[in-house]
Amino acid sequence: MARSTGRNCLDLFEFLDLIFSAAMDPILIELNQVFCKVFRRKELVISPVSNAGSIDGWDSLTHMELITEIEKHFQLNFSFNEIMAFRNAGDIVACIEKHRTN
Amino acid sequence: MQFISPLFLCFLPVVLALYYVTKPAFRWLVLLLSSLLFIGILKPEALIVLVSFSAFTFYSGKLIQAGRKYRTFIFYSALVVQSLSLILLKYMESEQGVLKLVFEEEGYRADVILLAAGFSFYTLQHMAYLADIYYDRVQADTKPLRFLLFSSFFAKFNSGPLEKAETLIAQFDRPPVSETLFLQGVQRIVLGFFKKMVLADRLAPIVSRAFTAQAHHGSLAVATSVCLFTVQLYFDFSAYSDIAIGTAKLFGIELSENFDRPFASLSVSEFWRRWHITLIRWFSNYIYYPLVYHFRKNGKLAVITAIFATFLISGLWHGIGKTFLIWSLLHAFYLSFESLTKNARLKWRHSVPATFYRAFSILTTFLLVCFSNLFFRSADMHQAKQLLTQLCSSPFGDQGFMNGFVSALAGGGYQEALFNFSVTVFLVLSFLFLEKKILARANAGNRGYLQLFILLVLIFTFGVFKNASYFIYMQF
Repeated sequence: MARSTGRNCLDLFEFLDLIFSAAMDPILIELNQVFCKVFRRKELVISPVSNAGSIDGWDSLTHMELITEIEKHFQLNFSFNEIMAFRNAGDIVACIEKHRTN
Repeated sequence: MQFISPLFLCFLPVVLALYYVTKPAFRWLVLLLSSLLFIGILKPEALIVLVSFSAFTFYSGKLIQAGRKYRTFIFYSALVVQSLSLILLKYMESEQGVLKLVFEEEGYRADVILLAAGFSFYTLQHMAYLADIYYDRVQADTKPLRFLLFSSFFAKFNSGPLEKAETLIAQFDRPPVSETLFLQGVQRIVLGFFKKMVLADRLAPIVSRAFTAQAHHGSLAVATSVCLFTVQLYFDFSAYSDIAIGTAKLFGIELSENFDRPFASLSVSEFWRRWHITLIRWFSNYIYYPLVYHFRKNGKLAVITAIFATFLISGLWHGIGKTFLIWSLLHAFYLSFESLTKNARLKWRHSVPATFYRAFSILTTFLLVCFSNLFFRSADMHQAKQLLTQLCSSPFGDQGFMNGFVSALAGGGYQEALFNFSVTVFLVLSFLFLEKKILARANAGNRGYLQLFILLVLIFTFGVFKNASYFIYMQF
C-alpha cells in the first residue's frame, strides 16, 4: 500500500511538472497550435512527453507533414539527424530552442 | 544448423556450458566460435561470404570515418557493392532455385539451400552501419572480431531480428545473465517451438492444398486457405523470432522484438508497425524517411512517392518476380490510400460506435493483408491468376459445404482428416485468443512452469516432427 501511495505521489508531481512546463514554455504553446492544425483537433493539448504512442494519428505517414509545418511555423530547417532523434514533443521543443539560440 | 533440429538441441547446452565456464572477458570469443560453427554446419561456403563481407564493411566503416575527401566516394561505393551483391543473390535465387524452398502438398522442403545463408539480413545491417557512420550518428567500431560476431551471432544469423551494431556489440561484454533473463529465454524458446511445430506446421498442409497447381476449389476454400497462409506465415516467422530472442537471452543478450500481435492492427500502417518490426524499421530509417525528408516541401506527393519506393525495394528484397512486385505495389497502394484519406477516416471513426469501428478496422486490415499474401505465396503469376479465378467462382465449387469446403481444407472426408483439421483450427483460434496473456507470462521471467509444461505437452501431443526444420523466411 505504501509503495502504491509513493508511486501516486510521483505521478502527481510529474503531472504538475508537465502542466507547469506547458504553461511556462512559449515554444510548447506555439508547437501545440501546429499539432492542432496538422491533426485537425482543436482540443489537442501536448506536453513535453507527448509522443507517437499518445497522440492519435501521429505515425510515419504524418510525421514529416508535422515536421514541415513546424519548420514553416518557426521558420527554420531541421537536419535529417535532428528529425531522426525526435522521440517526443519535448525533443522538438529543445531542438527549436537550439536553433533559435544559434 | 537449423533451430528446430536435434543437432541444435545438443549444440545449445554445450555452448551455454562453455560460455559460463569461460572467464567473462573471453565469453564473446565462445559466442564467435560457436556462431562460426553454427554457420559452417549450415553451409561452409557461407562462412567465406560472411567473413569477406564483414571485413569489407568493417574497413569501409573505418575509412569513411577517417577519410575527409573521399568519404562520400567510399560510402557510396560500399553501398553499391553491397546492393549489387544482394540483387545478384536474389537473381540467382529466382533463376537457379539456389535458395528457394519448394512448397509441396504436405508442407514444404528445402530444395538446394543456402549458398549465402543469412546474407540478405546481415547485408542490411552492414548498410545501416555504414550509413550511421557516414551521417555521424555512430563511431566506427574498432574491434574486427567483435564486428564479425555482430554479423554472425548464431541466434539472429538466419533471419534476424535486424540489430544495430552499436547496441549489439555493447552487450557482448555485459555481466552474466540474470535468472529472470534466463527464464524468459527458456519460455520464449519453448513458445517458439510450440508456434512452429504445433501451429505453423499443422497449418502448412491445409494451406498447401489450395496452392498446388492442380487444385480446383470453390471460392470459400481458396479464400480461407489464403487467410490461413497469413496466419501460418505469422506463426512460422514469429516462432523463429521467439527462438532467436530466447536463445540470445540465455547468453544475457537482448534482441529486438520482431512482432507485436499484428492481427490486432486497426490499419495497414499499424500492421507494418507490428509485423517484422526490425525490417520495417530498417526500411523506414534508411529509405522512407530520407526520401520524405529530401522531398518534404512537396507535401503528400513526397509521402506517396516514398511509400512506393520503399515498398518496391522491400518487394525486391523479398525476391525478384512479378508476384513480389504486385505484393509490394498493393501495400504501397493501401498505405497511400490511408495517407490521403486520413482526415475522412478520422471523421468517420468519431461518427460510429467504437466497438464497430474496431471490429471493422481489424477485419478489413486482415483481409487486405491476406489478399496481398495471395501473391506473396503464389509460385508464379499463373498460379496467382488461377487462384483469383477460383476466388470469383461459386463458394463450394460443384459440391456442397462438407465436400466443397471442409473436406477440401481437411484433405479428405475421412474421420481422421476431419479430426486433425478441427484440432488445428481449435489450437490456432485458442492461441490467438490467449496470445497476449501467453506472451506476457513468457516475458515475466518468473518460474511460471505451468505454462511451460502445458506448451511442452502440446508440442509432444500435437506437434509436427516431420518437415519441421525449415522456416519460411529462410528463403529471403
